[in-house]
Amino acid sequence: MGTRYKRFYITGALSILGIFALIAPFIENYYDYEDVTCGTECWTTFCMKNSNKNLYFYNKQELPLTFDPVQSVHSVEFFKKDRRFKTGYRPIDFITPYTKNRLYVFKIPAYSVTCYGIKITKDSAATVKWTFAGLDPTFFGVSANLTFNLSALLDDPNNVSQNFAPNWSRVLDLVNFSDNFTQVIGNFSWNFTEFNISTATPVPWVYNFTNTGNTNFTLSALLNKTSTVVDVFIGNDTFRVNLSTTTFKDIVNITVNETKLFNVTIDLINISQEYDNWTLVKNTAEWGFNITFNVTLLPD
Amino acid sequence: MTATRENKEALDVPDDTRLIETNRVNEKVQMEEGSSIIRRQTYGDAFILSSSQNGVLATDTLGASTRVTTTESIVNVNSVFREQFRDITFQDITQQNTADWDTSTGRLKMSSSSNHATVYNTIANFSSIALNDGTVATITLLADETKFGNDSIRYFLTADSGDTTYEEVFNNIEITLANTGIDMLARIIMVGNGGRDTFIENFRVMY
Repeated sequence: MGTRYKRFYITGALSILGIFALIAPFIENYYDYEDVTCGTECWTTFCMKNSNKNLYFYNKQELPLTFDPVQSVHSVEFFKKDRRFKTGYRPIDFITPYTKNRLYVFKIPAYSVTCYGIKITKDSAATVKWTFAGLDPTFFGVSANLTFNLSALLDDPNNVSQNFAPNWSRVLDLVNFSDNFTQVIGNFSWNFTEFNISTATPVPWVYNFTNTGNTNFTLSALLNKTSTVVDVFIGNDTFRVNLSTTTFKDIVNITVNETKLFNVTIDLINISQEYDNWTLVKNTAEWGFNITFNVTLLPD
Repeated sequence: MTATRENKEALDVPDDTRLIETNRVNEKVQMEEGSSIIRRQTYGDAFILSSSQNGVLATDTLGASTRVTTTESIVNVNSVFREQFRDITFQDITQQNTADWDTSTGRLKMSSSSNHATVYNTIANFSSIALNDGTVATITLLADETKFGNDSIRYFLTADSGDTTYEEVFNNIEITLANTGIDMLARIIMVGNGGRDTFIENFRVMY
């Protein structure tokens, strides 16, 4: 007669699929789970019957739970149904000891039926199918319906940066073009900083966003390239969001059938030019960029 | 103009062709007289038969010469110089010209580039636009300006042909020059990010 328990020592990365691979020989069946349609945050529950021995998990390296394969999943959390918790589910992180004064981080009791929950975050439009043995929930993605229109007055709809209108009297303040000597030899330089520069009139709004779908979403934006002389902002009369080249910055939530208008503004920092005989020899006064938008669906 | 025509070609039917009837349209074509340039050309050492000075064999050159052409005067109708930028007659090629003197569109553009995400500081230099056409003391400059954003166009004129006596003048404002003279030149400086979308047309100087 064998032991009445089984110990699992996790020494490497711990994935949710890995756990179910380990316990597969001991689980009689899975049930009470459904496919889920979800945006960025997904939640599913299931139950399983352990018709065998007690199963103990040890995580000596205290590595966090992961999802494998990663696909479009950004994070995963595991829960055990437990009425003593306010949410009805006890979080199991596979690091915190499952029972006080014990070393194991998770236990599946023998000859029992227990229910669990899994929460993942993913790209809102991504569909994640997760299959192992008798457990194969699918997290169906939902698509966003966003329309955004560049103003017809913009010069180049693919490049917003074409339309800014700095105050060039600043150059004239720095260079005395009325001086005949300067005009003849054409040697001069200038350097200035100007904040909150709008697009050239008469463009009232650069972007017009409309949520034509059936889900509220958060609009975010990403700048395509870094520059030491230009900071790019999206906003309106009440706020300005400084865009980043590394992460999408949230701009605003847009509810179903709602339209919101935004402008793009820039700060030019220490832009400069130097001319020799009217020929440009040094130039930092360039600010070309593009903006990419993203939509993150909000939970109902 | 209206036109009608009926033509029956059956042999036993007389031809009933009607002449084209026209309504005359009055057309008015406006013409602008440009500057008159009077030039003097010297004989140089060109051989001229029977000439006491240029008829010396083995000294004067047959078939070639060292003749020199000088501009004696540039006279403008009603003392108004007009530049439509359709030719480069008055572009001073001995000076810097970084602005785009575009004869195909008839525009003096800040630049030929369409890029608005950078800055241009460009210049256009005119050669003499009025010479020995009376003393220039007061002038009024006119130009049809098209400017992108906050671009700037600046005008400078001199009446005594000197590089050190250019004075700034402003569009459609009469200016009394500090230095009067008989040889007027112009210079235009453009600053901004408009590129080809900042330009002037129909440039005029009244004096």
